[in-house]
Amino acid sequence: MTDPDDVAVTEKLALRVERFDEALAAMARTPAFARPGKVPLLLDAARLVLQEEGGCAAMASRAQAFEEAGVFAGSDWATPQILVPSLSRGALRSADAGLVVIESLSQLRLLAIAQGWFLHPLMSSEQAHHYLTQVLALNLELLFAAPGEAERAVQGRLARVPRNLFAYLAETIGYEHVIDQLIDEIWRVLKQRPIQVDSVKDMITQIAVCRARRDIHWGGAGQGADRLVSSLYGPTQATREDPGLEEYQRRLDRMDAPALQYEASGFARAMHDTGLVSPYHAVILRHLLGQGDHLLVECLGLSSTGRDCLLCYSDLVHALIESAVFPGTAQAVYGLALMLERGILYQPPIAPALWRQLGLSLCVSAAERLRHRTDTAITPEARLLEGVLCMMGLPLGIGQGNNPTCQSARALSMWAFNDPDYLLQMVAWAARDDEIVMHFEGQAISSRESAGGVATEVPVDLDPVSLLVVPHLDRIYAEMGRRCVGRDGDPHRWVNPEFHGWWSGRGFHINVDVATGLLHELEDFLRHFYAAYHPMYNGNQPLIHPQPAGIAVTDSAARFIGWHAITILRVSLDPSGTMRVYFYNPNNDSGQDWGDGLVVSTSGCGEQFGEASLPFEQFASRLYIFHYDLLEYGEPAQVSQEELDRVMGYVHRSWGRERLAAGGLQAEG
Amino acid sequence: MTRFISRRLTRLDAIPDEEFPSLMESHLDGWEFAVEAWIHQGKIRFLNISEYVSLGYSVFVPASPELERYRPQITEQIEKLVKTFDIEFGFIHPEYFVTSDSEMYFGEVAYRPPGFKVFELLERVYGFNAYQALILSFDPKTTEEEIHAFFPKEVEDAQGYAGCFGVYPRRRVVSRLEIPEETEDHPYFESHELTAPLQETVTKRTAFGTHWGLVYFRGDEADTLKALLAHQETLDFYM
Repeated sequence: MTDPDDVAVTEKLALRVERFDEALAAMARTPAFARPGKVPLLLDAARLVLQEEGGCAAMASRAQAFEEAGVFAGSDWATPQILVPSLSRGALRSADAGLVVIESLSQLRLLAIAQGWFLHPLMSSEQAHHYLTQVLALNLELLFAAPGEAERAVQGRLARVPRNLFAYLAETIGYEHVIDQLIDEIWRVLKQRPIQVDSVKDMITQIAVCRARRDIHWGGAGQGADRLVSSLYGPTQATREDPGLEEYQRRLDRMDAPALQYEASGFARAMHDTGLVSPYHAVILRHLLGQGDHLLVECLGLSSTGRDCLLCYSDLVHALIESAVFPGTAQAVYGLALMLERGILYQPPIAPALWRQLGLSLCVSAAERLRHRTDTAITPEARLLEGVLCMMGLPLGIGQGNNPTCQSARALSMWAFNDPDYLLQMVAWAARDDEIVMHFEGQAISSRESAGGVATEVPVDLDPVSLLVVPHLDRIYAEMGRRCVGRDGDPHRWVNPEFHGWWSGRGFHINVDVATGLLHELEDFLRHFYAAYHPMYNGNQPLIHPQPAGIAVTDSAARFIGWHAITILRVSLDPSGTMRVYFYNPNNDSGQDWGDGLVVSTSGCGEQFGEASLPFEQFASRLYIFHYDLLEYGEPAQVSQEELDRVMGYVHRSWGRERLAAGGLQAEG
Repeated sequence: MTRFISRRLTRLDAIPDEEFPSLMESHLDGWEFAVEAWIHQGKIRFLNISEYVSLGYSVFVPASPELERYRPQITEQIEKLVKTFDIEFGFIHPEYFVTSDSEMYFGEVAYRPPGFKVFELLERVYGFNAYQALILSFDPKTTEEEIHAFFPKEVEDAQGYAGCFGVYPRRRVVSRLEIPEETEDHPYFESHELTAPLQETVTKRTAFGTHWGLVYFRGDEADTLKALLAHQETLDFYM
């Protein structure tokens, strides 16, 4: 028997598919020049189909037809081989129905390619399959989690489209492919040790939920999931079956010293393995406060440096654990451990500055910004302290979120790395006084009096310290830029040293003519960069202070995307003997494909946690601004012409392609 | 330019002197409709009546049977216009009002295609491209056979009724576009060309000024379509 509701649904879908087919036929009839005018109608008809159950299958079967009718013509989707899986997240969550639908159609088209019945001239079946598994892995919450409030508010009924799409893709491709890809992806991100791990934790939770489901056939997949899931939900003997926090506390109360030590080291191993901290870890750390410092050392997994530091500043460490470490702020444990390992407590101002932080009363607006949106048990003070510890422990783990505030994120990272005392001062000003004052060429600039910053919206997707400090820094940075209006040349020349600190060099090179946007004295620029940074040309002098630099970011097809702020951290030989530049990228995921063979590495080439790296030549080819110390500076390097030509080749094939002066074009022939 | 709308003649006094000279247009109350007529060799070759549901909001073609009853009288009126302006080849688009005493008043005539995408609506129901029709009828070299082969028979050859609704936000402040579910789910709904709002504040609507985009419908019953178009005025498309 057929359910009458089912019939109604099928009829509705049939009608909508018919409408889509009419729109598609109309588009196919239209001459190519007039097709762009027909695309919006076609996309809207597609949206109505995709919103219905079963709509994805109907559209997938028409994949070749709609691609050939020209729905992607003139857009990035027309060249599927350059599409970046991570961008699908933004597209599918957009409030713009056209964007959501075209992205969905593109993925259904890729599915047809992956299944082998649509032979695409630009993409193989394997490529399409690989792309789709990545997209699925990156959007796993669309498969398993219920729609969030944000999703509903932004997309309304449109939210059905990505959800139907993912259910269909996962069924067709198979869950086991998704899971393996996702696990690799999580490990890749975790190796960069970000401070913000909420989304990673969410994904791991989803894996755990999937594994508990019996109707998903896992096959041989999910081998690497155990460590991830256990690091959050059951890293030790006594937490193996995820007993709940209260039960765990009862178990701890009954343990003797050897049992506690066994538990403590289990937690430490899991934490240093993954960079993730289980809420149980917070429980045992608090429990151990009354049991002697050697157990704390064990539980934090400290080396001799960290242990010395803890024993030296025992009272302070106790107070920090007391005030910052709760199940809801468990990442504070990792921040604390790494901060102790860095030995920065031995700098005279740090300990008293942390005592100030412990006693700091937050102004109303700061407390409001720090209030946790879902977990009311977490006080704003504890949350801020967790953020401070994480930032002091992982200076390279700061991310800018989905905000145009790379300069502010870079400054925070540089201070945490090079001048942690100054960072703590900033936090105190922002949290207590709701105002930061910096100086630009002798004139005070207050964050309160400055007009708008670079970001037009107040950021929300940031770590607690950034959440508080970035809006102030952003306004000050923008104000410094405004004070340079009318000067000849690029404002970064003056703003960067004033904004970041005395150690950023006053010497400045840029290879783009500000007025015309064309490349300017590229070879000279490169010779100076080699002379200042390359150990073979600068007298084997390792870089002393982190230096701000500007890069031209390119996409996987080597096309220019925009200017971006990074920090050069060091230049040295990697384990295989290649000279590499190690740098910090405030972007949340540094592992990016910049096209033309440049793939930024984040692990495996001698990187420390949070560092990104490229071979020197390749890095130089994306650089457009650098600073140097005028006094420590030698002659332009006698770099071989072949080497410079290779670098300039990279420039000319990517972001420099449209920036050649008339003479350069001729030289190119 | 300043625009005023006045329901009473006395309010004209309120317009300051510096606004003159000014262009004035009188609006009549009544049942309004428009005509699109293609003329070749002095003869009407295709005459469409576009029926307005609410002036400035919605229109559909062909007109409902109640209005099509007046087709012979309307054709006579158009023939007078063709004669008066001595039109041999081309296209005219006049507007008329029928008042409560069934009197038909001439409103204005335009020598250009109509607004509100009426040409697109015609294509939906008759299948011919009305722009192509323009070129044919303006061209003296078009043969009699070509004309006959091109134009369908009015009303008889129409596949149902096609109409569109011009959306104007009802709220003063809007942030996103959301097509009402009942609109989208109606079997007559075809498509829309609305876009996400670029501005948050909605400017006050003057006269029958700019709508934010059209929503298209098509179906078999004129009455259903008419009610559906009228109902759209009570719905929010922008939230």
